[in-house]
Amino acid sequence: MGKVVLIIAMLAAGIAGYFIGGWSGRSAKEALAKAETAAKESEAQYQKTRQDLEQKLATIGTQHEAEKQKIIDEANKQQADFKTAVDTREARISAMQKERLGIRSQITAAEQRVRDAKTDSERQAAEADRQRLINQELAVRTTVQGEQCAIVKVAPSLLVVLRGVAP
Amino acid sequence: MKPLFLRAGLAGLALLAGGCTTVLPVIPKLVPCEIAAAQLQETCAAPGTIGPDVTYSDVIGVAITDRKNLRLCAEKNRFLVESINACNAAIAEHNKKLDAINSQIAK
Repeated sequence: MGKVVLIIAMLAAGIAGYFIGGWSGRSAKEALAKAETAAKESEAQYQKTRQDLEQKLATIGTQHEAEKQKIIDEANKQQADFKTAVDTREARISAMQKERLGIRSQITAAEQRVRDAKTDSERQAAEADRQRLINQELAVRTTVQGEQCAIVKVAPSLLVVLRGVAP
Repeated sequence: MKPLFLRAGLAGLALLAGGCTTVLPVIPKLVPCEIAAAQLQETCAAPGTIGPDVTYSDVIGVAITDRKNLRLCAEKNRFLVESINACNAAIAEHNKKLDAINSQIAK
C-alpha cells in the first residue's frame, strides 16, 4: 500500500513538474518564436533591398553606357566636321580673297563719292559707307588669316608653355 | 570512472539539445554594392600628346579629343557617385528596417 502511494506521489510530482516547467519556459519559447519571425522578416527584407539595389544599379549602369556612347558619337561628329573644315579651307580662302577684292573696289568707289560729294549730307553718307566697307574688309582679312593659320606650326615660344603641362 | 560517465552523459545531452535547437542568424547580412567590374575598371584618358612640330590645326584636333576624354571622365565620375549614393541609400534603408525589427523583438 505504501509503495502504491509512493508511486502515485511520484507520478503526481512528475506531472506537476512537467506543467511547472512548461509554464516557466513559456516566455523563453515566446521569445524564441519572436526571434524566429524577426529573422525571417530580416531575411525577406534583405532579399528585397538587394533586388531593388541590383535593379537600380543596373539602370544607372545602362544610363552610363548610353551617355558614354552619346559623348563618343558627338566627339566623332565634331572630329569629322573639323576635318572637313580643314580640308575645305583652301576653297574658302580663295572665295574670301575674291570677296575681299570686291570690297576693295567698293571702298575705292566710296572714297570717290566722298571726294565728289556736293553737300555735307552726301559726304557723310559716303563716308559712313566707306567706313562700313573698311570694317567688312577687315573682318574678311582676319578670317583669311585665321584660315591660313591652320597649317602654320605653333611658335616654339608658345608651344613650350603648352608642352610644359602636357605629356 | 564516475566523472567520466557523467561527462559523457552531459556531452550527449548537449548534443541532443543542439540538434533540437532552432538556428537563428545572429549577424545580419550586408547589402552588396555590386557595380559591373568592367565599369569599375574604366579609367580617365591622359591628355593628348603635343609634339614639337604641331600646327594650330593639330592643337585644335588634340583639344577636341581632350574635351571628349574629359566629358567621358566626368561621366564616369557622375556614374560612380550615383552608384555609391544608391548603395549608401539602400544600406541605410536596410539598417533602418533592421533597427525596427530589432526594436520589435526587444519589446
